[in-house]
Amino acid sequence: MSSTSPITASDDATPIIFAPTYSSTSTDVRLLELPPDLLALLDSLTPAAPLVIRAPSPTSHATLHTADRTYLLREVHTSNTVLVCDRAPHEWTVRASTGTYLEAVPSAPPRAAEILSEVLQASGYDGDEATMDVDGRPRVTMDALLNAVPASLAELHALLRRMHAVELDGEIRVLEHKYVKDMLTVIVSTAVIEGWDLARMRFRATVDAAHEYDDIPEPVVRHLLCAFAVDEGGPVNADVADDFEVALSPSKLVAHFAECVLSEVGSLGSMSYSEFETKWIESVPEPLTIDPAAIEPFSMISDNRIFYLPPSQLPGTVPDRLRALFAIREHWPRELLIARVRDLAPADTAKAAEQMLLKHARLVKADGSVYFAARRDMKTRR
Amino acid sequence: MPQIYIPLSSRNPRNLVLLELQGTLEGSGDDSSNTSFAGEALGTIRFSDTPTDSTPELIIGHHRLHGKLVTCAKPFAVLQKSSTADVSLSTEWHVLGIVRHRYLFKSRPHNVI
Repeated sequence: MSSTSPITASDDATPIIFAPTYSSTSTDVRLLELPPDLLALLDSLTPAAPLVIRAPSPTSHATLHTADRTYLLREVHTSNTVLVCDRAPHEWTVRASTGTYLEAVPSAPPRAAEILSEVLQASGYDGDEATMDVDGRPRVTMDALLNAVPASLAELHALLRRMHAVELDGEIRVLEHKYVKDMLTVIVSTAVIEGWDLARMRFRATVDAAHEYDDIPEPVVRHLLCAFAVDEGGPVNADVADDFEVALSPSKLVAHFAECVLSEVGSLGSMSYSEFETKWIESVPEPLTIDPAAIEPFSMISDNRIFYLPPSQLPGTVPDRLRALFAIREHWPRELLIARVRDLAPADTAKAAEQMLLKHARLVKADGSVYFAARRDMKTRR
Repeated sequence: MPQIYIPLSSRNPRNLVLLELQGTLEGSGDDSSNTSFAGEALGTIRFSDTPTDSTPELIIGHHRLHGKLVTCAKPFAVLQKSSTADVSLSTEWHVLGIVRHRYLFKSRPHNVI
């Protein structure tokens, strides 16, 4: 097709003109395909945080983030030429032309937990600054994390809460497992001494009372009450409210004491279940009692041994995660394996996790039941 | 990590339309490899006499193309990079508008007699 011939506009024909700034090689105008929730966000009239596109390196996927979701961005090439035009009643103006568009695919933040662990590796906190204040330790701020981790702000906050990372003096610090256990023991013991109901714990009173027994920084108390609340994250605005009330979850509390015992074997390690149970019972303060159901999210019991499978420390891609899990157990019941990979699914639902598994694993029949097993090409699959 | 910000502040979206053509555009001058069309005319578009203007006819040079109005399977946001004199590690793009339909011209062009 050739252009630039004289226009003979008729009464019912509208001329189409290239803009003075038009360039066929310019990439200043791009098309972004909108899945339904992105479309709803852009159509919304209420102000929202800007969309952010991050590209960690030229070889990794670019990601797009709303305030609370992440999308993988892929460039799709078409064989056609698409002209982007301003449409006015008497003339159309071609602003740009393109043969590609960006596709946004909903995704879990890629390798976000792994990257966070790497960035915060030297940012542990055990309450004793004299031993933790190592010269040259990089100070990691929230802004630095937003730059380094391909996740939305809400997803990043959720990941930090799960790994017990707290902002102290403008720096992100990861509370050591044992420190969290000790501080939870102080909080629970304080509640017993004061005659408080664990289902009705007040933040300000807990800070004041706990301060008499141990110098716990206020952000640490706030984090612990929210992280171990029945409603994940605690009440709305608990991260900034001067006072609030939470119902502590006995199940989450005893789960943490269990994880402190189990973490001694390291991720994907194991120990005798009877030895673990004995240590667990000894560590849990009254009035709490152990709850085997509470440890299912991060453990697996097989042949009288208990394996430690902390979600935040498992491999961050589906093929690597499955390779590690199938190495310790050949056949996985459907529900158990879904629970182990749900954080990697595009949506936080069991159905999304199962659909993802069906692409990376195979179903087998054994003992009259259906299990997931490794694909035959698992060793080479990336 | 480079970051690109797309503010969601477009309260006066442009009236945008997409024209999708099979093939490529070439200049009609002596140098047919010249692709600088800035400020030049592409052609004209007209619609058959229906209320929905869903049957467009595009005249480009000596070619006539018949097309149709197609609803995009997923709408597109048209993004434009912001021009700024500030040197920054971050880049800003703006949403010019959202396009839900496009005019598709995929039939073989006819010569205009």
